[in-house]
Amino acid sequence: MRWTANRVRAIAMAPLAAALLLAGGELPAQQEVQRLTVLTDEEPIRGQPSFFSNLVVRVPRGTAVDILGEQRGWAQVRVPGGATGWMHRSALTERQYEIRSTGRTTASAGTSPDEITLAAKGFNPDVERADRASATDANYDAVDRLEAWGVTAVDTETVQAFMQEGQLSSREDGP
Amino acid sequence: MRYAVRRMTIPAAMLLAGSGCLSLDLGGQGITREHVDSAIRVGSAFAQANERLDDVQEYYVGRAVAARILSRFTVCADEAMQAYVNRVGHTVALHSDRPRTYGGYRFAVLEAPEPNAFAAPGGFVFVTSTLVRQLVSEDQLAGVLAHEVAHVSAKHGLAAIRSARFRGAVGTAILEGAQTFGDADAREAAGVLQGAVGDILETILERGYGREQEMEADERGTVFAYRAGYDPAGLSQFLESMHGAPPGGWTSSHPGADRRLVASREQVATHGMKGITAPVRTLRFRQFVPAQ
Repeated sequence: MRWTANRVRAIAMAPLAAALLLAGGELPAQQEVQRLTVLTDEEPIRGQPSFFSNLVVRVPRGTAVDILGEQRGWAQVRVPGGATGWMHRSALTERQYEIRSTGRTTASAGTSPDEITLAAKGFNPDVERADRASATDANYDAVDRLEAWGVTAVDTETVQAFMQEGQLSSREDGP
Repeated sequence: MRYAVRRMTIPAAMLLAGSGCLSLDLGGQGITREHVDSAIRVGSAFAQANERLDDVQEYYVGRAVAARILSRFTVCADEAMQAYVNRVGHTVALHSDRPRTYGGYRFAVLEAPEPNAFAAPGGFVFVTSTLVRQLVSEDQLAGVLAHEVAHVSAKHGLAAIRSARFRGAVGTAILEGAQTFGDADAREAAGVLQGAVGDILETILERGYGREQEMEADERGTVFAYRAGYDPAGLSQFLESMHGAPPGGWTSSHPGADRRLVASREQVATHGMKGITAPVRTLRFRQFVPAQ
């Protein structure tokens, strides 16, 4: 299905509305489902609102997801294909972007899809190229090496094991 | 804390300006028309880069800042220590108010003779090898990295960009995220980027953030470390160890250490945040960061 607006009318309400009409009731107000875009690469959808909860599915950057609810910084989402689960709200944006493939593959285990970027306007790769060409005090090659360096990419499962080794337990009751 | 007051005061000041009610006594300091106008101006400037550049643009600003930092400093070659610092950093970042960013968090130890730590927008966090060697536990390292993650989370780097950078057609288009640029405009946009990066570098490397932003980073960073299971006293222990240290590095770019130490201790006590520095963590810290 192709969506053309960030907020779409929920067609899921149609059967309920029909039933109410047959029963002589009033039509409920049409419910709006908020649709947001995934900012981050291969973002995991979790079974519960916690990074350490079971993995439901990973979704590529640029995926549009429907928001079903929110809870303490987490959004309950439905992804294309119908799976539901939880994503941290910081991985989602209200803005819409065209998506592009960089031609590189991600480090994601198993699937190795093409790396996806969001085609930003304003400060973007075109401006960075112009900066690279004119700046004498910028070492973008070192930034690229830092981003590609395996030690700087720490996934959630590694964090969980690291925490267990260090006798660390998440506290949900922080102020 | 001053930052919290400012966040609450700007909408209140706007309301007061609209209502014509121009005097409210807060601790003996009345709000005047001048204060209201100033608050609105500050709020407007703060909102520009901090709130209007989107996450993707923030990432490219962060790359440009990191490119300058990495042209001045060498990344420490100790890969095992880098991996360890990244695991501690990602642990606190995952428990922050903003665990996900467009490009993700990256932590790097830099070779430098001064003890310092700083963060670029979007998630690049740097700490010098000298600072790491002055720490005595993983919980202190977590406290320092969480402080820098808090700067990223609150977008303090973008807030350091002077609003004047976005005057003119290209500057406005950048702030609005309104268009992509051809070659000529991209060169002009790169000039805007270079000015913005200069503002951020001046702040994080030389002048330092304002006291209110440092206090906010202390407060939120302590919460992030606590949520991750660390001893919430890690940051205050480090601040205490820096007491009386000669000016330079962390002490010059992070002013008011004594006041911050008091505030940090009060925060931990007030909220009843209890924790211990587990020996197993200090042992592994020493595995990667040998005592001097």
